[in-house]
Amino acid sequence: MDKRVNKVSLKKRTDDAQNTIFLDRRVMDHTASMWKYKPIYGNDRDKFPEYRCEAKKDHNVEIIAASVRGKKHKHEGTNCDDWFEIGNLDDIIFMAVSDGAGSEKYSRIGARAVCNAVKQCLSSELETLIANKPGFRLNLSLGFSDEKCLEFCNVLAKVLQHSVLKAYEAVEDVLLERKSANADNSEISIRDFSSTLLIVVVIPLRNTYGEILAASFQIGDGVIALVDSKQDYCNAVKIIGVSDSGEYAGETKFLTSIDVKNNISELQMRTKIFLGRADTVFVMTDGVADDYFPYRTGLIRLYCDLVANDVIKDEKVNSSDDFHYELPQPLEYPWINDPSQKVKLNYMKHICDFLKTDDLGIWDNRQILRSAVDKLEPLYKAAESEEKLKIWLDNYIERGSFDDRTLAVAKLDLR
Amino acid sequence: MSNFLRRLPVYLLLDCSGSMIGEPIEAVRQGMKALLSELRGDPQALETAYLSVITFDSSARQIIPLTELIEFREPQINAGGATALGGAINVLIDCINKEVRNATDMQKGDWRPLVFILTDGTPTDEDVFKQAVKSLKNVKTANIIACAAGADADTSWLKLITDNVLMMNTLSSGDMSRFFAWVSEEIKCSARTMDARNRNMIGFTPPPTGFVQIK
Repeated sequence: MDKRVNKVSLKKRTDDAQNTIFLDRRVMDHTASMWKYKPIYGNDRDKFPEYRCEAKKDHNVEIIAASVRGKKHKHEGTNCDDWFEIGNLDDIIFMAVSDGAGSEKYSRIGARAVCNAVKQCLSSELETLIANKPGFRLNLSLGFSDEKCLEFCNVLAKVLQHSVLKAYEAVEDVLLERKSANADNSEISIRDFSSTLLIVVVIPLRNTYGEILAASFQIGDGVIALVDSKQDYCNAVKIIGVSDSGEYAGETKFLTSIDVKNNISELQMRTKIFLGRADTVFVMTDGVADDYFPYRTGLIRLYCDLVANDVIKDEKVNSSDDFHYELPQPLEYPWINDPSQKVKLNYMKHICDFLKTDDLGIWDNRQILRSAVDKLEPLYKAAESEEKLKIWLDNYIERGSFDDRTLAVAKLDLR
Repeated sequence: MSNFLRRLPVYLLLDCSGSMIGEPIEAVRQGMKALLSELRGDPQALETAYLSVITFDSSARQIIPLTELIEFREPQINAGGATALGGAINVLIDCINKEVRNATDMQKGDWRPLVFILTDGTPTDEDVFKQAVKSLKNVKTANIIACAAGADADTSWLKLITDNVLMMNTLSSGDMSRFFAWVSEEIKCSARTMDARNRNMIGFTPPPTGFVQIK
């Protein structure tokens, strides 16, 4: 064994999570082969792609995003209800995700319409904003006590809110279009297009502190979060959206359930501005977020899961070239679309279990994840990162998790 | 962490009073068996549904605490005694308060519990029953379906518990098995529609043939 192994002293876990992990795996081993794959019914224009993935790469930012049809929809032959759009102007980035309400007929159409509208609006208005405010990065670096910084934040918030109004109008437009296209559709209402909406705009300040300005807007469940990978476990994650969820599971709000046009305060309440350090930005629908609850600690596990599966790179992990640490083999489950194919993935839970440690133990010794990456299939590792994100989203197994999954990740190189 | 799995809690309240002796109680046993095998064939139910059984005769008790399907062992059910439906509702209230998790900052809440009540008579603990029905209103809302089995069952009592009351005319094993088949469909259906997020209450599928929905 490598000598360097001894330098890693892992924190031992003290909780009783062991038994539940074991039981969950038993249930999952049992259900893995029971999930069936059915192609999407029908052949209409509303058929959504089963998978989408996309990347935007600039010299010091990388955005990757992917959307996969959930197990439940595969099992039943129904459509994926999630959508995302991403974009960038040099190193200024934006990401939007939306989850159509499972119960409403055209919710996925709504989800796509709102993301497209947000993308269109932000692309043009961010460009104008930046052109009109030379030196804005410097001003922002001065912090919220500076007037010019505040002024910029105000304008940015208005741009963001404008994109939300555009999103709402886009839903009204599709509603009208559907109504006029087909007389049978006279009964449909805006409610049939219910979807969540999560948007984030990130501007790296290019200062020595590695700071960013992030503006977010959220209606409905899902998560918008920032990670500062150089921070300690307790301070690394910042949740910058407000999630709507009721007392019981599964109660949320939608863009169309709020009268955004006549409710400026609601729009303002849901707009958040963050100024500080962060190098990773996550936006996700509840299909992913639910698997990483509670978020403050859960998103550290998400970060590490992505690193362990070679979806994102972490400085600590990728700088140690010949590092070896004894880790468990990745778990292998059949791919639902074709059970003869098995997919190997690393799971933080499994690694923690094997090492008798917890997320904190791994976070502080992340370099060991290098050995997890080494155990992945070479063919998988050779794929583009957005492709790996898609495969990971499509195949990671978590008990009770069978919703559509959408995740957009931005990695910022702030040096 | 798995501690935060969103479970679909399902409570079965089964009448085991004297009038159930013989064919009816045997039909309940068979129904339980069928229910389990049906649910175990459904991946969504297996991953999310947790089942508990509360029986009542002259008194009421939870004979199986909320247990996941893969671990669930069929209970021993015997008939005899009176019909302590009020007592059973009190037990249900305790169990829901104790077992069903609310959403907090640290854990996801469970899905709304699903409760099925099967009885063939009228409550013999009338005062307890009236009090219990009142307390039930203060408990976390559950989706409750009550089934009055056989000609002797009085649906007006069940109407006090829930708006969803079914009546099956006979206590025959055929009707009983149709009831349990319907219950398993309801559970699977709830497991499927759990992401119907803006709906507070689930919609029920039409009752099996031979059953009447009491308005």
